[in-house]
Amino acid sequence: MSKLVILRKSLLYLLPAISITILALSVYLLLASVGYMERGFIGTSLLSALIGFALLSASLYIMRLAAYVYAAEKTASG
Amino acid sequence: MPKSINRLVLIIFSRLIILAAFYKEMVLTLNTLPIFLGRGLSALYILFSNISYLISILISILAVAAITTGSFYVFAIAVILSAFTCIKPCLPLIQIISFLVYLVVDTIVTSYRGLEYTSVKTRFIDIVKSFPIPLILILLSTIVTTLVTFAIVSIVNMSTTIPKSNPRLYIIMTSHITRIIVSLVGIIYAYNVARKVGEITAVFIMPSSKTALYELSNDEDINVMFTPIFRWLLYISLAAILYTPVYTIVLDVLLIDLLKGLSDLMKNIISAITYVTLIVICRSLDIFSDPHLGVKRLVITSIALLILVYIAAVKLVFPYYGLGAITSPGFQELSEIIQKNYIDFSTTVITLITTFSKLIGVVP
Repeated sequence: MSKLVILRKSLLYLLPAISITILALSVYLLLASVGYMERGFIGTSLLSALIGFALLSASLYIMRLAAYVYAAEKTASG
Repeated sequence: MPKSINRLVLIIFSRLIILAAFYKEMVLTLNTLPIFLGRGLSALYILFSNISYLISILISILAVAAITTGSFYVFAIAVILSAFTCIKPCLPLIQIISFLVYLVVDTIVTSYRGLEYTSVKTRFIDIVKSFPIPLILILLSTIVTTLVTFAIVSIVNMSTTIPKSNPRLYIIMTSHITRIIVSLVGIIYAYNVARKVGEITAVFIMPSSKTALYELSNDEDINVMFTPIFRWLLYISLAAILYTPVYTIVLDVLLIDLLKGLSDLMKNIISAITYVTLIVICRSLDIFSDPHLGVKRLVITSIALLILVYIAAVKLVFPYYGLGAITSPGFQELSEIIQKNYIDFSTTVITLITTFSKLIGVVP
C-alpha cells in the first residue's frame, strides 16, 4: 500500500477520534463553566463557556468531515 | 376539477383529516368568538393575556387555510403551534399522527391520476419499518428538546444562586433581560447544533459517494476560516467595552478643562457630538469585520489608541509631577476613572433596558 492509501484509511478512524476528543474537552469546559458560575466567577465562567462552545462547533465540523470521508470510502469500496 | 370520483374521495378524505386534527380548537373558537366580538376592544386585552386561547384562534385560522388550499406547510405550522395550546408546552401526538397520515394521503393524491388500476409493490418488512421510524424520530426530537429546555431553565435559575456580595452583578444576572437573552442564545445555538448533528447522522445512515465527493472537493466548504461563536454578541459587547474607555479619555480627561467653564446645555451638546463622532470614526475604521484585510488599519488604530491612552495618563498626573509625568504616566488614576465609567455605563444600560421592557410589557 502506498502512503497515500494508508493516510486515507487512517483518516477514517483518525477524524472521529479527534472529533470525540474535542467533544469531550468541550463538555468538560461547559461543565466547568457551570461550576465557576455557581461559585460566582462570572468572567471565568463566561470565558470557559465561550471556549467550550467554540470547541463544540469545531468537533461537530470535524465529525461532518469524518462523515463525508466515511461515505466516500464506504461507497467507493462497496 | 378532479377527473375521477376516486380522486375526489381521496382529496375530501385528506381535508377531513385536517378537520379532525384541529376539531377541538375550531369548535372552541366558533363558540367563543361571538362573545369576544361583542365586547369590542376589551376583548383584545383578554386575548393577549391568554396566550393559549390566542394560539387556538390562530390554529383554527390556519386549519381553515389548510383545508381550503391543501398546503401541507400550513398544516405543519398549525401542528407546531398546537404544542402551545396547553398551559405548558405539550406534545400534540394526535395532530402529529394525523399529519403523517395526511402526508401519505397527499402523496397518493398527487401521484394518482384516476381511473388507472395499478398495484404498489412493497415488501412486508418495509411496511413494518415505516411505522416505528417516524415515531422514533418524534420521540428522539422530543427528548432532545426536553433536555435543551431543562438545561436552559437550569442555567437561568442558577444565576439567582450567585452570592449577593456584588449587588451590581446580582442586578445584571437576575434581570429579566439577561434571562431572555440567555434563553434566546441557548435556543439558537441548540438549533444549530441539532441541525449539524442531524446532517452528520443522515450522512452516516445513508452514505452517498457522489454527495461526499462533491462536498469534499468543494474548497469553500472545506477550508472554513475559524469564526468565533456568537460573533454578533461579541461585536455588541466589544463595541460597548471599547467605546467606553475612548469616550472616557476624550471627554473626562482630555476635554475636561474645556468643558468646565461651559453651561450644562453646552456640555451636553459637546459630549453628544463627541460621542457620535467617535462612533462614526470607529465604525468607519471597522477593525472587527475583516481582520485579515485590514492589518494596516488595525496597526494604525491600535497605535492611535495607545497614544491616546498615554496622553491621557500623562495629563492626569501633570499637575502633580510636572514634566516628570512624561516618564511616569498615571495609568492607575486613568484606570480608576475608566472603571467608574464602566460601572456607570453598565448599570445605566441595564436599568434603561429593564425599565423600557417593563414599560412595553415584555417582562413582568
